[in-house]
Amino acid sequence: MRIAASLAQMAMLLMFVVLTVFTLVHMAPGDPANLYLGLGATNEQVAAFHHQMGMDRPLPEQFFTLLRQLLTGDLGTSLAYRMPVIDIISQKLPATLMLMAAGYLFALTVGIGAGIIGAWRQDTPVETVVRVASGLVYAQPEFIVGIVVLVMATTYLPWLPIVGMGASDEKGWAAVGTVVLHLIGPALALGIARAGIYARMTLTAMLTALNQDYVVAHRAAGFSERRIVLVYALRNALLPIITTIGIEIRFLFAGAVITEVIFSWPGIGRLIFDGILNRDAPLIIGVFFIVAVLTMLINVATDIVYALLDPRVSKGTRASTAGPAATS
Amino acid sequence: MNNDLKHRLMADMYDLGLGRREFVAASTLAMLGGIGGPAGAQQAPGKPVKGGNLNVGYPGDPKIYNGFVYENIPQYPIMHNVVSKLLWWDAKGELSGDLAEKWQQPADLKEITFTLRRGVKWHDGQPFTVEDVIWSLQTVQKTPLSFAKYIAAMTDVRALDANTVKVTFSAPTPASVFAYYAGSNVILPKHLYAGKDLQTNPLNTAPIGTGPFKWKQYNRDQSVVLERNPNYHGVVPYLDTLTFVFTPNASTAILQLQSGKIDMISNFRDLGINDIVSLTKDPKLNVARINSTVVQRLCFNFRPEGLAKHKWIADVRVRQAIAHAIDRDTICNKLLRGAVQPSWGPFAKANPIYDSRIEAPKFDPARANALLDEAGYKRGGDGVRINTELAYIPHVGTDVTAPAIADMLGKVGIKVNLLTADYQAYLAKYWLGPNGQGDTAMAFNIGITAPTGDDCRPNYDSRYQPRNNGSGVSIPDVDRLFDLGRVEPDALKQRAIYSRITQILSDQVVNVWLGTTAPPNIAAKKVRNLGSIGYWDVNQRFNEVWLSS
Repeated sequence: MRIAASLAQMAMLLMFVVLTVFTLVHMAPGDPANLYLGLGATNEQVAAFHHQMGMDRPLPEQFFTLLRQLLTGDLGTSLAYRMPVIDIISQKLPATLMLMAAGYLFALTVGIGAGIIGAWRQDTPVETVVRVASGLVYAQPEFIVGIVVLVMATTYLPWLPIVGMGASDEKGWAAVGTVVLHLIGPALALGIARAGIYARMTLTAMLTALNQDYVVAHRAAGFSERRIVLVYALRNALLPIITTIGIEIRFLFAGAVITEVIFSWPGIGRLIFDGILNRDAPLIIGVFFIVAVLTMLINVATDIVYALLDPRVSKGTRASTAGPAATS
Repeated sequence: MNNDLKHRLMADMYDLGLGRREFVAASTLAMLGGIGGPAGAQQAPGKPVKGGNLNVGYPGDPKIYNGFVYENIPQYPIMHNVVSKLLWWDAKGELSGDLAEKWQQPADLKEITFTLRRGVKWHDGQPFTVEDVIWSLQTVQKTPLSFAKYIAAMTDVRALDANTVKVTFSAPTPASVFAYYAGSNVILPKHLYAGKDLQTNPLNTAPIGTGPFKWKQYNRDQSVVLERNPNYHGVVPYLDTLTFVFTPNASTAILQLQSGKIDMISNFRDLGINDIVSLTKDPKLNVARINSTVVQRLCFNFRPEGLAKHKWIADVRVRQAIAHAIDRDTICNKLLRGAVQPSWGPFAKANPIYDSRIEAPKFDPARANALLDEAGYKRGGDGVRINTELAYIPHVGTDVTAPAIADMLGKVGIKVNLLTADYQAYLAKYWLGPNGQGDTAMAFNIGITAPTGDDCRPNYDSRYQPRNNGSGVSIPDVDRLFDLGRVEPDALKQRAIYSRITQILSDQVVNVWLGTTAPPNIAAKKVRNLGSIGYWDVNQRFNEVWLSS
């Protein structure tokens, strides 16, 4: 019953996303015929194109035709690429997921690590540095960070590639190495601001956890400080971070658009940027649809991970004021 | 036509001892005397060295590499290295044979006979034949693409023998149309395209041609790698490979160039003026100005909806006043620091038909004020005579030019509201809009104005409304003169015809022309013989470029 309700909710959300994007695409000035036929086409040729694409039908009819297509998995054909939108997304999505994963990995590793260190060294200059640095870093928008990374890499790391993903004719570990090298710059640009957020969240959550009674009890029982921090306190501190990852995914997609344009990374962020400039309506709607589906799936995955980490959630019990999950 | 003008033209030619080639060369040197420095500032090419890969930073992936499906300017520098046409504007600006070795036309220009080069092979090894030419011309004629209009009068195309093809027209058609720069003017292999859906042919992203370079590898949105075609019918490339690296913005491309990750940048229309100037001064780089086919111009909206909303547009005195109020020299030489070469008239300055004796209205705000008073547009209490608008899209320098023009016009009482948008929105709202959307008073536009006078026709011929001639210019004499100029075989007479067109458009102040602009090719010093890339910015081939060690 709960699953059916969740699926129904997801379906409604998806329809809302499609309706919103469809409306925005049709409100934006610009005729796809300019992209498809060029300026040399006559008005008659443009009218024929509009008729062929169904663009001369009433908007509600166009919308329901689109919904019918989406239900059958048909995302339409890109006007710019002249190929099925689903094929283009299949080619580009892995690059974006790779970039987001690398960005997240950097952000979580550096952010959580800095937060732990700051909390472990609470009431020392280390905590202050982590607190201030995280605040400064997460206030920076991706395009600023991206350009700074670009300039710094060009000036001090001339061996680091800053554009693209590398040639596709390499095989095996050579190909992996090339992609990893190309990934460093954009992943840094995407992950730095997020690292600041996670550092601040981890610091706050760890400080709260380390001041709980159970920690005093564990210290009194002779557990090592390392074990207390890394096993008991961290597990509780991670809960809000896990939630944030699920919420953050949409911002990461948005950040990926900017980062991919700056670094010419061939993902769906670049795709949507070009699609909007070209008024490639099938491509725009298709990409937003897929991103919406992915965001919902990731949120579901987040809920599952959260439940695994916090037995109270999986058992449906309410949180105890005294009792974290540190009973193991 | 104007006999005085004709005689003056002939007298000038004799006085200066100029033939057409010399005239073209002199114009080219004058063009290159801009911020790129004189042509002599480039290194002497030296002896060509074979080998190496040239990485060219390029602004974007055209996505479709088949001019029969889609054509756009970003496609041409890549495709011109892979495919061939029947004729070509060579690096000296001369009409020369590409796939055609020679051609003949009778005086009435109603047919043309091409003798094709022998022994040419497609990149897949198959022989190039007359059937490829016949199929290509017949196919493109049925499309809505630009070259179809150029050969609209074609009634027949047939093989006379294995190497000769004859094209027949119902109306005079000069040979130069077969050198038309656009992507739809291309000869494609019939054996790979005929009978298949053009729109979905996999060769749209892996074209086969007869050009100096073969398609080697395509990394979508990242790069295109071309390799030498050892069987090319012209100068076989010195480079082993030519890689176009797609970089969506000029800033990143400049960083890549300065760090040595790429060797050259080309065709970046968002290259800032300050960037061009600083790159010009970089001792590690060469800047090669290439003749521009593009003229920046301020257009008035002569369409019915434009005239209905902005009645002042119909008064030539107001348009003259606007021309007098704009200090074009300050804009081009100081604000744009030479990135736009001042010119006046519909044709590019390096176009042989450009008439430098037809001068722009002098910068004279007093005269502008007098004309506006005469036209009945007195200043109101707030000093404003006319409230109007100017639409533009960011291009080389327009973000500097548009506010400067608004300021200059403001000083004579014309208050200008600036409107900017991306390219598609600009077209929809300000240039092409149907049903009253297109009522913006003025718009910045660029127009292709070379290599021939006919290439400029869509901007001013009333029969090209509303899409190419978006500002709605409609002067029957101009239409008639374009028809005459197209088919006039005598070069002097043809120049006189186009001079007359320039005079009419200038007298009517149909546009306020600023000048010609071309994003320069900027390359590392090791890239040699940059001047061989092409005479015009829309016609570029890299087969004679080489890399020094």
